[in-house]
Amino acid sequence: MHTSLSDLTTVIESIEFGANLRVFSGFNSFYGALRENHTINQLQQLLADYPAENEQLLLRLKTLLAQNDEPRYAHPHDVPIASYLFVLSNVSHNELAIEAAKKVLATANLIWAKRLAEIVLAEQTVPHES
Amino acid sequence: MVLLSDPSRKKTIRTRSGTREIPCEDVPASTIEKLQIDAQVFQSQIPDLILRSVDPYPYNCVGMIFASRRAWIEIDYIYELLRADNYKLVPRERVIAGDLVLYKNQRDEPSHIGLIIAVDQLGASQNIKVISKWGLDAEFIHFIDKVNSNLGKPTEFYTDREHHAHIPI
Repeated sequence: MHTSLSDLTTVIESIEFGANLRVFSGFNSFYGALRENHTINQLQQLLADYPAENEQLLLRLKTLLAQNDEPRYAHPHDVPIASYLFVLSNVSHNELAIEAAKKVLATANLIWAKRLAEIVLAEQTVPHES
Repeated sequence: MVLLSDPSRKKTIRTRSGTREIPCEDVPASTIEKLQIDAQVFQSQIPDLILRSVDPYPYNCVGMIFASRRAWIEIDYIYELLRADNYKLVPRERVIAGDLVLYKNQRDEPSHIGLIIAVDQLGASQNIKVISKWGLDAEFIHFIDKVNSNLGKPTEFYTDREHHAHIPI
């Protein structure tokens, strides 16, 4: 029996998960931690096994983007948004990851999510070698 | 994949030797409430952890030491900073207050830096206390090995002292 999308997003949106991923002092460290994180890997596997869940994760990302009670400050959901963008960019159809990245860049005061979105979009503009 | 940020869009800090300008990131401030909530998480993980500051101004561990808490400087630049500011490697058993400790992650990459504030010699062992800023979160006083596991392990020690080898421990 697999862990559900809801179970995984609950962990990723928890205070403890966010705190543990806000300690990094560089994007490369943050990115490396996402790649090695057990819960992120579980989510990635879930989306690979059940592609229909990709849309659900994109919806959740958009919902979190809109939740910011204090827009002058760092976005409170930066870590889960970055996590979901990371997973979408690794497993989903390009369109979903690009849509997510564009939404992220249109939202103020994101940190890690913004850096990741820039990379996702930059990679899309690089023509593939034949 | 190129993960280093684009230096062309950044403000910079100049190193002591004046040979390098290190880019700083434009990072938004966190709310004090967020910093306090995260600090409670860390204090539940690490009982001896002392919360020093919940300053919402955006700086990180590198900016705390090399820019007087005025900037966010990616940890990727740490070796350039140490070299250009004339820091030298020093053995752990010879560190004193004011020296620096560099933490590395499992990939052997620099992940965190802290300022040593006290070294108590207890027989053959040392109790080393450090001040460091934990990324986007608060600034803490902690024992050298007692940090969030994502910050890595204390691996290298640096001093700006010119004659560190002659200072008694």
